[in-house]
Amino acid sequence: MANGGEHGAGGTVAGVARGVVEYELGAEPCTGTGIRWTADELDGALAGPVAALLRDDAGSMLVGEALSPLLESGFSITGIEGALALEQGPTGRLIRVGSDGAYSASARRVERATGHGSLTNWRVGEAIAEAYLSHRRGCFFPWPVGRDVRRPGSSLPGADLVGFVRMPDGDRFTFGEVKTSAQDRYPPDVMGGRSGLRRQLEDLRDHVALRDQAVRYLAMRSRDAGWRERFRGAAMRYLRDSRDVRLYGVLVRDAPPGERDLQGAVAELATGCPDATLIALIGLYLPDGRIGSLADDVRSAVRGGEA
Amino acid sequence: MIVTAETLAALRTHWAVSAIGERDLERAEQLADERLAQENVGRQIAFNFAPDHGGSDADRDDEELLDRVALAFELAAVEGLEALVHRSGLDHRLREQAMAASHKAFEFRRLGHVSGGPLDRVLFVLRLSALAYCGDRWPDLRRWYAEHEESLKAPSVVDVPWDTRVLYRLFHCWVRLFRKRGWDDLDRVRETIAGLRDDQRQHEARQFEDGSDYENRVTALRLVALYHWAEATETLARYLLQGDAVDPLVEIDKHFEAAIKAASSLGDAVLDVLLRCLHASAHVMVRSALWWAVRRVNSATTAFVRSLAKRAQPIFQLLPPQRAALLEEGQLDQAKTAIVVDMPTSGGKTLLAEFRMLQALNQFRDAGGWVAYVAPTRALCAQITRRLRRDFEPIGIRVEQLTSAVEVDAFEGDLLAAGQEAFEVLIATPEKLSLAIRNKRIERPLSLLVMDEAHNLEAEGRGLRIELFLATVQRDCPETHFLLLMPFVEGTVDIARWLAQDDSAGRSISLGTTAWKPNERILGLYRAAKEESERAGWRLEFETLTVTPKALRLRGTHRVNGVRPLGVPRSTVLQRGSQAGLSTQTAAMASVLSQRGTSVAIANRVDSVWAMARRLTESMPAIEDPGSDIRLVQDFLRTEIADDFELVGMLEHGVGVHHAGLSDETRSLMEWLAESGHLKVLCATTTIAQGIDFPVSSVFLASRHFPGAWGQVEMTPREFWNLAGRAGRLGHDSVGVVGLAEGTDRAETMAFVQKTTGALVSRLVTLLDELAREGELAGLAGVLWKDQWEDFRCYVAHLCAEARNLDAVLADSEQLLRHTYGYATLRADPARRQQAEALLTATREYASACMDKRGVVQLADSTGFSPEGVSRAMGGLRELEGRLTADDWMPDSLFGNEGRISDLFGVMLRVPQLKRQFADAVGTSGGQGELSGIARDWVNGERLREIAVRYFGRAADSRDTRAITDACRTIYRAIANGGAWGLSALGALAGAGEDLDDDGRRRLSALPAMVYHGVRSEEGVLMRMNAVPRSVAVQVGDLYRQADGGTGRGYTIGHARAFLQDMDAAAWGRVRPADAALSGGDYRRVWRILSGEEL
Repeated sequence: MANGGEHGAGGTVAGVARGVVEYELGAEPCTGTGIRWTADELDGALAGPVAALLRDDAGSMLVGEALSPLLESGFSITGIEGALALEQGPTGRLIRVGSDGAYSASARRVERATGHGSLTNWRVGEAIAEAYLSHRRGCFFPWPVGRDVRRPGSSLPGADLVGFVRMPDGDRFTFGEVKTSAQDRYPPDVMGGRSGLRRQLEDLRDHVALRDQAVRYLAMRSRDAGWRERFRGAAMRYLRDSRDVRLYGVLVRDAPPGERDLQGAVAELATGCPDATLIALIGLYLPDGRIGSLADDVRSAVRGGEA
Repeated sequence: MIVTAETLAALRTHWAVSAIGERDLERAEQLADERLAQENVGRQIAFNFAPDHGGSDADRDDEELLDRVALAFELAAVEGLEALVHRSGLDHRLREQAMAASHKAFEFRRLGHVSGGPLDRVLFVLRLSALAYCGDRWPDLRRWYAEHEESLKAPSVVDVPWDTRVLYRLFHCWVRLFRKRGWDDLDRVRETIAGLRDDQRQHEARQFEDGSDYENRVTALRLVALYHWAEATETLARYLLQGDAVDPLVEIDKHFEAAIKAASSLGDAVLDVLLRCLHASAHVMVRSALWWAVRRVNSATTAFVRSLAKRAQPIFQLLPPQRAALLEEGQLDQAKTAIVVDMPTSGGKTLLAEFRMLQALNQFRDAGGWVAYVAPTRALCAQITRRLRRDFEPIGIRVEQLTSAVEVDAFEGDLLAAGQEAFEVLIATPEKLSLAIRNKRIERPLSLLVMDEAHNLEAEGRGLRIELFLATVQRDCPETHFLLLMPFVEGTVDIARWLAQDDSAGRSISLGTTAWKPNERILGLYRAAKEESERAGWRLEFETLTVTPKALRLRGTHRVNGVRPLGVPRSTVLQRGSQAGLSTQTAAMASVLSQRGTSVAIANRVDSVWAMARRLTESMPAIEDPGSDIRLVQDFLRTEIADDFELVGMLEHGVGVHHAGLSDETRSLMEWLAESGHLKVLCATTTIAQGIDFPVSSVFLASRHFPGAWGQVEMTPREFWNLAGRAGRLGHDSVGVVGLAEGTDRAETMAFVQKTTGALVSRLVTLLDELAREGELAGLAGVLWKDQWEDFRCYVAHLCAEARNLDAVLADSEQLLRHTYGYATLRADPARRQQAEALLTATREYASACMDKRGVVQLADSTGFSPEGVSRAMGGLRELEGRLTADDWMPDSLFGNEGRISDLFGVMLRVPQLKRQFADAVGTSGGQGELSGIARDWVNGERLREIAVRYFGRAADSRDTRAITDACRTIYRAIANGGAWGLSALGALAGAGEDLDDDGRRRLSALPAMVYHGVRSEEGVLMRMNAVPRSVAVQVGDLYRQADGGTGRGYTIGHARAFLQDMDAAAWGRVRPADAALSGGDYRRVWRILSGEEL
């Protein structure tokens, strides 16, 4: 996964546009920024880093190896095979969906049969946010986490994005929540309510257990990773003060920019925000009506790229 | 591998831990200790920990700090988690890190609150449990489980999606796997997994029907992970139950790895982390399983493990120190002939010994080998016999116990002479076994000698005897292997090498410095303080001490609940501002803390113990329903001692008493009641330190001194910590409380607690050091005649008795000395050669003198007297008016009205070894007339109460408590020991059996045992040896005689036990005395408890 550089020529770095800043709200520790992307800027992102992120997504679903030992168990795997749309290969073994992050021939076949897996518009929205934060805000998300891992029974769902952000005095952990909305209300419903963006950020701000959960996961993954030192730097800072983190809330929508989207959230999240915690809310405004076709647009972009 | 103080110390330099900062880390550790104390003892002691900074902000900061510290340790643990599931040695350091870090992380996480939704709870419990396992703290986890029952309930699966349902069912399984409360727990796991497979078809399809394609892919991946997890779970449960696979980890690894792969593909951070933690726990669980320990060992051991897993309270896994000793420290290495294990109190050393015993029996089975288990006191011998019988008899290994009488009686003689079918394991005190070995009573080879509480080697009274006993075994039984068990001893390798007589064949397994402990401990001083809110008011203060790493680090002086505890006025405990009435203060502490479980209150004198018990009885309410166990013991006391014996009423209030003025049986029953939690307070003398082998909740000491032979003796730090180690019941209390009365010597008490336990020092060395200090080393030969050297003289006499001539003795002297630990130590130290030389010279001189009187020396060796004792006894016998005839020695005449028992006691009093024993006869003149009268009445079956009143009665002693106490001490210590031994020895010296036929000789040889057991028939003796209460022993013996056909030829200890096992309540009822408070059924139950049939 690419680590973002800053400010390329024409405001585009590796396909992620800086966009136009439409509004800025609040002050540290809690700020809000409205960014508008043009259709070209969006298409560039979809074809480049966003598609790459989503490809990696498919690649990470290595499942054949995990599934075959179950053939000898008392559990039936018929239902699982169906849900994963797995096929029997020529050797009678199950074919993997993707392998090692590369698009293998067999994986592609499966992808096509199911229409790019089951890609959803909101998943693309999440990838757009991830690409933006990586390329424009100095964030690094080493591992895709929280792929719609619903947790009935839990008061603390995991964060959408977990990683580090480089700051002048060293790395910090960063946690991000993303909401994608095609509504035309200000603010859209995804900002409020129990599972809304504001509440999710509040949870990340106030519940150390939620942050700890992600840190433990990164620790487990960090052992042989190239980013181990960055992890340690961020972890040491976090262990000294577990509030010393950066939280991002990204609202991806396709309505004209409007301050009202973030105003309430910025004000509320600033109240009771610990000094050490920085919260940045970002409204990412895509061209009108594009949310509904994001998944298809990615598919087209990928096909165009292959052709 | 086990978590040690060193690995914990190394952890502090780990990047994550050091990020916290030393100051914060210490603060967090202190907070954790304080919370644990508060949570466990806060209702009895109002803790007043001075906060570093105040207010609710401080509380929030504390929470946050504890969280950060817990996470730091978790991160360190996570780094090494993978190493825990690797088996090669490459990741040794990381494995140590993972274990130590999990150990610490658990310490902090367990203080956390379980909050959030059901899934949060499930995850919290599983993660905490995994930390406990990876950090070797599963006993702590069991307690946490006991204290958080609600958190363990599986959430409802009504209306939850199938994948969540699977997760909840797996939670249910893992709680059982972690808890392993019994067979049922593990069996249910298999049942639950089977149920999941049945439910899959119906529920899984429904979830897929309801989900979108994307959701279904996510669900499918999650199910892959969960099904693998279920498979691994089932394999693990099956293995723990049956041990059916040689290496279950292959299968477990396969499924966990696949599960982790699926969770990782899914990007489910929580499930991924959880599975990795559980995978590591599964490894620890398998490697701690009993099956794992014996997977390459002989079939007897496997059969043993199977029987442990199948009994009512099964054992499935080893405690961490046990695992370390067996698997990593080579306790079963057959090439090691001497192993010394230093293990913390309650570390489970008996089970370790059992494994080594089975191995030795297996190794020497063809040669008819046997194993000796030596324990220092009668109570411990009885306790260990019960335990070994319970564990070994189901697998067909015969366990027998010798009485603690010094001499070997006729039945014991037969037992020892018999073949393998009679016994394979023999339990005895060192003194008894020493005599049996010196006299070659057992022809079969002694394969293994297990010595429990072997730190008694340094004890002032009998340490030398024990050391010389071990030396005798080395010399007389060169094939014997040794296993010495002791707590809190550093530097045991020298002892192992000494016993092995070969550096490479000795092994020291030191687990005393491991981080593992059965529970945490609070240590403090208590004192009385003025309380003005009430007239003559006072209260107790408890000052927690931080001077030792063996206790929680708690600062401050805290108020113990209750004003004017026990209803005692202030003047009793505070006199002119000075601390007074320490035993009253002790009783008060014990009373308050007894709300948590049994407390032991210790004083150093028997009358103080009674006084404490009286005060407690007066102030504590009677138990509403004492239950059948207390009733049984009360009826036993009514029957055996007296209807109105004071202890009967005390038990009504949950107060028990334990001291030398009670019979062994009574003390055993007190221990039984304490162990099963029926007693609120057990009042005891300091001597309980040497015998207590059962856990209690709290221990309080009014004094740290023993009454010794030459005045008050301070406990050694080792004895103190051994005793303190009993505070806190494994599996019950997270925290044990230990308190010492501050009294008037605060500084000394503080210094005492800070003393280190150190290495064992041979008594021989101590004695020589004392001489060297006094400049008397050169005159050692002259000093050798003193009492404290008596055991040494007996040891040399044994060599002389067996030697061909003086030259041989002189040539062998050095070898003889080399067998002693003391001499070996001196020889190894160039600075102490002079002492070694002095000892050798004196030994040779003494041996030469002995060789001039070979006959005496041989008699000494066979009787256990010193040569000087033999000479005095023989002189005494010669001076008796009228020679003793064979008839005089027959029980009927000896204990009849005209019997000459008094003459014999007169002779005994001339023998120094016996005279010392008779010094225990208290409250009497100690003269031969009284002693012989008591012995006669005792043998003739007089009830204790009658003997007490007759010989010890006092007008002021309204309930005869003091008289009964004195009578018991006189009988059980002076008469039973000295009297029985004396009679046996005098009979041998007088040649009493020479003119007798076989029948007469048999009756003669039963004589000392009659004195020991207080019955006047051979059959009665046999019954008493098998733990039948004295009040009914003769009658049951008569029944046995009838059953046997009346010839007496078939009498053996084992045969008699089989007879008793078959006796039903009705049969007991037929022989019970008409006025006995115990019914037939009661008698049977008491017998079952005392004999170890019922635990």
